[in-house]
Amino acid sequence: MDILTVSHLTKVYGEGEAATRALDDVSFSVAEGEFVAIVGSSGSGKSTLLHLIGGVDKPTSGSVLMNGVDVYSSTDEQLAVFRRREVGLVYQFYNLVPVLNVVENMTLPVALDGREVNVQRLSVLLSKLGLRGREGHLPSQLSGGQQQRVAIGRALMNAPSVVLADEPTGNLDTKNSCEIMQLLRDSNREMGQTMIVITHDEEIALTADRMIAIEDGRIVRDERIRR
Amino acid sequence: MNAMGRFTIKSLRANRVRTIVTIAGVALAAALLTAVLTTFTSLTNYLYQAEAIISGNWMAEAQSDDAAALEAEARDALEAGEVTGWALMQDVGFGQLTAAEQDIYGSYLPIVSVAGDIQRLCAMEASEGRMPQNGDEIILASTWRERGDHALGDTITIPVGQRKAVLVDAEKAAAGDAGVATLDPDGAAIATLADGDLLDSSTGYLDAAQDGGIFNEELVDTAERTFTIVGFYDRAAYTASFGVGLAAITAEASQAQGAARAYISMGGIESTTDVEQRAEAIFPGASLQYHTAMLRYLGVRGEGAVWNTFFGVASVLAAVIVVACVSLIYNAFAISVAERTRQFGLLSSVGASKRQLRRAVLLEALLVAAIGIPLGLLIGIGGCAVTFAILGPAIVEVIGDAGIAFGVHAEGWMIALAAALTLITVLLSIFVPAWRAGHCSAIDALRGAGGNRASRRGAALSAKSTDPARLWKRRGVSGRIFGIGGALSRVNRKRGAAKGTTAAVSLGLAIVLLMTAGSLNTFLGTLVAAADSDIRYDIGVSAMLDGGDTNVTDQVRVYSAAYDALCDVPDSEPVGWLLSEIMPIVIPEQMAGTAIATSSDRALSSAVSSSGKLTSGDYGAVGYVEYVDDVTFNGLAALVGADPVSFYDPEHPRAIATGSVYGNNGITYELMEMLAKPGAIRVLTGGTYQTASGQSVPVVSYEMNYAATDAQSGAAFSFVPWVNEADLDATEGGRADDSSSSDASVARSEAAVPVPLEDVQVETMEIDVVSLADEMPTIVGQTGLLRIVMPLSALSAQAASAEASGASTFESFDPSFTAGFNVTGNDSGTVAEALEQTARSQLASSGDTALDWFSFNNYLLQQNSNRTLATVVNVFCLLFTVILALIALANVFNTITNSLILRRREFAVMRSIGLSNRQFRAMIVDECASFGVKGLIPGMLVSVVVSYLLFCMVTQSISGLAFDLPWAYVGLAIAMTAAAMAISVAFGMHRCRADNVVEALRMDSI
Repeated sequence: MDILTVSHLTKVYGEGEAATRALDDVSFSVAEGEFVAIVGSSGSGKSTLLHLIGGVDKPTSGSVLMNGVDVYSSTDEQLAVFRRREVGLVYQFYNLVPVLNVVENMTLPVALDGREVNVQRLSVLLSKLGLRGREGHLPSQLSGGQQQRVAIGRALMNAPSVVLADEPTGNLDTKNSCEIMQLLRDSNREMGQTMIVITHDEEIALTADRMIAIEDGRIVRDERIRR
Repeated sequence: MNAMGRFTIKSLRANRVRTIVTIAGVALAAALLTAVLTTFTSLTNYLYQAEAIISGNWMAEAQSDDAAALEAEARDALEAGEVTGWALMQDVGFGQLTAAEQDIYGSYLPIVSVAGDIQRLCAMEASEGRMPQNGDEIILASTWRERGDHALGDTITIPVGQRKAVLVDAEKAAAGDAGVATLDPDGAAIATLADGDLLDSSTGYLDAAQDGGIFNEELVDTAERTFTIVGFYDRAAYTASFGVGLAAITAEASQAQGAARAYISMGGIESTTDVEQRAEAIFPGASLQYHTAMLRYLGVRGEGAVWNTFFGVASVLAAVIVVACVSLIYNAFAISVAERTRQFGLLSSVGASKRQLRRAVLLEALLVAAIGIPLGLLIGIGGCAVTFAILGPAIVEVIGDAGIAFGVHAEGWMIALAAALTLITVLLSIFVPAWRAGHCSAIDALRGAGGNRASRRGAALSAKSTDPARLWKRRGVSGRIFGIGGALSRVNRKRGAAKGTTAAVSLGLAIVLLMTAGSLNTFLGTLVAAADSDIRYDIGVSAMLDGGDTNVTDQVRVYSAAYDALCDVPDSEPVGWLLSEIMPIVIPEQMAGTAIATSSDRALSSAVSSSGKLTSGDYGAVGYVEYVDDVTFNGLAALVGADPVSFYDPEHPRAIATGSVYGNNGITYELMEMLAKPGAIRVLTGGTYQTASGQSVPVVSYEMNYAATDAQSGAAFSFVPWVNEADLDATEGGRADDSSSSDASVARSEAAVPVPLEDVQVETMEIDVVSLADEMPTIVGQTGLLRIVMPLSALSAQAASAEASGASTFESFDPSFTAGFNVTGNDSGTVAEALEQTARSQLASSGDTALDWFSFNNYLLQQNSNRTLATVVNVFCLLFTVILALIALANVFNTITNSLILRRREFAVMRSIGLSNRQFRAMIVDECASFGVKGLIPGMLVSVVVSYLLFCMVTQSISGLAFDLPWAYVGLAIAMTAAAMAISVAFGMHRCRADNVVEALRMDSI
């Protein structure tokens, strides 16, 4: 079953002669439990695609259906709820809230949703992410790899429909990169978490089930990876 | 230009909006300082010019009887460079006027001869024709041309003589009672005058019948003189206007005899003492006077309480303005630097030294100042020009019309000072940002991706907050009211390093600025109110009937009929009327207010002391016993919440009395507490003196007597009864000590003598003071004496009741009549004339009552000038308030908006993980509320200090003021600050929301 359907998605920045087509009529769908890697060179439009799927940017035309619901027909309030429940975002620069500690950062989306924290899930995630003993640390007291794990924990805490990761290893060394990818891989397998990862590193992309390549705002390749 | 310089200019251009805001801040600061200084120099200059035009620019006046000697001394001083100019005026004589001429020109035509630079020093000049050149030429006041049909070139022949005092009342003179002769218009320094003395032009016209004195005067040694009129003058300067008429000016050679006055101006003066010492050296032995107003406007000041208040208030305001400007500019620069933290980090990472970074900020400041300061100077002077153009006529009216317009007077030193002060302000403002820029490490700048960083304490706090079961429980007020948004804000507050100090400071400062404006308004309002005239109606009629043969009831009838007739005068609106007399009053100790209780301490120095402690332990005072018309009284009763009906019972006189009132003791204004609480007081209405032989003699009056303080009771005051000597003589063997001089007793038959209080049966009327009022009705007046107010119809009833019981209570009650009217039409002159005629005919022609004295006053002119003063003060306060409010609000807007915009990446992160707009709002509102509380408390404290400083300055000229915060302004200040905060937050959030989350998150680009 398709959890995400992107159809004819177009995003134009600027106007007139200066207009740039960051995304040009992109359509694809993702099935539940899939691990998709989107690859492309710098400026190919892959980040724009991710932001449009995540509901933080608005398309010029086209639609994004998440669990059968049109994301961009919602009001701002509904969009906020959508981001909390349906999407987990992981950024290259972690983007943690500097005054919140590890567990608070991880549970912030749950708190924003006004729900009780699932203590068991939190405990499992802390163990899996190797953050045991660092629950009370602030982001500034953690290494880059650790911060990125907190960001992943935050994305997974809500068990969203899709986790979207934008260059999650872009700022990390090789060892940390491998660990992070392994974490994403594991959560996809063990929890059945649908995962879309953006990367420019084909080697990393190869750990996914499916690879979509974007060039100049268009999909140039979409293939299953067989191992 | 080096690389950093080019970089700075580029960055200024790139951030055009922020650069403009910063320049505007600097310009505003410069404009404000310039405006304050310009107002000061313009006002001083105008006052100087006006004074020079009205009275001339003389500094010292020397009086002597030897004009020739004065002139010689003045000439020597000019040659020696001790004076910059001199002028001389000497009395030639007094021209005899016909009765018809006296009605127009005054009692005489004083003829004064002038020499020297009379035009510049004494502002004496011919408005038509020319100044006289010899003793046969004369110039006259223009009244002579307008009403007397005299023209240029005419000759005038007039008997000229000297004035001589003639004693008419030898009896009083023998009694040593010469003090009643009013010789000096101020009532001060009553010269000892003897029969036959010659009078000079400074002495007013003596007429014993008019002024109640003992001298008349006559013109002696008259000789006909003929003058050619060569000119007329319009303005009677100080020097040409005398009590007996406007002078005719001629130019004779200086005489060695006859009253003369020399006027001098000097250069390079330092202080009033300097002027005094130099004038004394030039004119040894002459009597000297000084042009204090002139000296004050020249910046040479003596010790005047009001002047100290003016400078004190100006200093406090200047300090507040400088602080406000520093804060405005500081914030602008601090924000500019903070926004570019990453930029500085980058520069630092490519090798810019700390010094280079500091210099980049300094260069930025200097560039901004180079544009902002000249702009501000222009705005300040331009703003003053516009304000003065609008307010000028009103200011001129307040100060006195001298025929010159009130305009901007800017001086070089002032512009330089304003520019220098602004530059210092800018440099002070950038000191911290520049230091911060220099300490911007590359790593910090590049890593610390904006937003609120956690403090050390925050780290410690966060370490404890890990229990999953307790996570995000709605803690504290914030959490309960604002939900998760409030909880986030609470965390930010507790753990954040920034803590919103800048925002809190700007909020606190806004409160301080608005409160300062409020205090200033309040205190200046008090000053204007205190200096305001006592009379609050347009036209006043006062009179007193000769009470000898009439009783009070008859008098009330006459006055009442007169008042009714006055009420019928068209275009006038009656304010009310009253009958009053100043009476001795005994007040129980617990009722005496502080002014009455402490009065005797100041008995000798203060004009208001009219009370003191009696040996009985009670306090004695003199005060008005006033019966006001029933309508006015009922209004007063309603005001103090008393039932008017209860005041009309003749058996039990009840009254409303003064609580606290403003009074002026000649040095300062003060709030004087008369009565501390209601209660029964006793008015001394009369008494009977038991002579040694057992005869009864009525007491005619009680006088106050300040004696040495009685050690036992602390009493320093007593009432001394006086009886008519004639009454004493009528009783056989009345006085023990007068048997030897029966001749003298006959001669002094009109005189009264004091008698011992213990031999007098004192008659009193007990009055129950039911309520106290601080504000009396318009007709009653407000001056610093105790007033016991009762309704008029109770007076007749009380008198009848006293008569029935055989008491002599009202026998010696001789009240004076006062009625007030407002003019409703435009022609106040006609209305005043009609009122005066009606009053005179009503009061003079009433059967067997004779008019003792009559007085008619038109207060309209005086009131207009008071109202204009209030307008000018209010407009200045308003302008000041508006400017301070603008600074305060701009500051709040700047800091709050920027504190939000600087954190937009942080907000974007939260929104990308699902923070809804409502939660975002809740978080920001909660944070702002906490800034508000943080800024409010210190802001209020500093406000209290500033208000107190202003209060101290104001109390130098008004004492007895209670220090009170202007609560209305406190409320207004808080409301305005909250409104400014709301607008800033709305704008800041709009900016953050309008931001594309993606863009905000991607702010990695520099």
